[in-house]
Amino acid sequence: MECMEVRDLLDAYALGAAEADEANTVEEHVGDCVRCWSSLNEAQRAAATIALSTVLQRAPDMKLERIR
Amino acid sequence: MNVSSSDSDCAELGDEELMQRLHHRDKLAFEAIFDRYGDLVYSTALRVLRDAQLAEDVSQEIFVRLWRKPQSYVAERGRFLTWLISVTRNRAVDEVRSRGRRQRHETASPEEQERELPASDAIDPALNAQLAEQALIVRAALAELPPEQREIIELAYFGGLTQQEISDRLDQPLGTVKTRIRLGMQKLRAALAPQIRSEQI
Repeated sequence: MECMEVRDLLDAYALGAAEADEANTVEEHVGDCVRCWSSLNEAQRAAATIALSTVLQRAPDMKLERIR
Repeated sequence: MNVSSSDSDCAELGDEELMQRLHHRDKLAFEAIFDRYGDLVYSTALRVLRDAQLAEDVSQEIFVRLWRKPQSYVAERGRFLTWLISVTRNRAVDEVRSRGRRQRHETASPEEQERELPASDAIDPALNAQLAEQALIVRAALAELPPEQREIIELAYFGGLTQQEISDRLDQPLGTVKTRIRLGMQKLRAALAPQIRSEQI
């Protein structure tokens, strides 16, 4: 699998929008390719920040007593 | 071994250090993480699920799992915050899919988008300082995207739709959807590059 081909899939994969076969392709490739793994890591960090754009709502008091 | 923390201790600690303490069953460390990110986890789940009860259930499950299995976060693989957000988003999307509620994820109306994406200078007082700074950068970067790119990125991330599903939903060619995702994410990565490089995200 060519790196170029995988690079094209990384953004969609990071957003959770890749199709199953594309996701398999990415996962197999980054297991062996440090550079693509690092690019994926960057894309995943950028994707995760999208959640930060959400206006925060106060979380309800969850039933965490058994933990706390 | 005495591993208990004081409240003021924990407030000062970084996320990764707090997670270390969780391995030693440190309840104050857990509380500090919950105080820091409880609202973010809940709000992210709510944005995906659009149902307050489901969002609460998913958030609770995530924090309970964090307490029981702190080792599921592996520090070598990246920042705790990135991991926590991904776990939350993915868990919420799984819930949407398992309930077959995808049809509820209509494209947000302009009014909804306005509500969901406030002016980039709006500081959310509920956020801690570092998060607030990152939130401003992300909101500004998203606001700068052409609407057609932003819509697709949000449908993928919060709507949990694949590229093919987005193509069907918006009646746009798959190639166009793929290109818009790539272009939008490129711009987002560029805007966030300083934060990503300095490991703030």
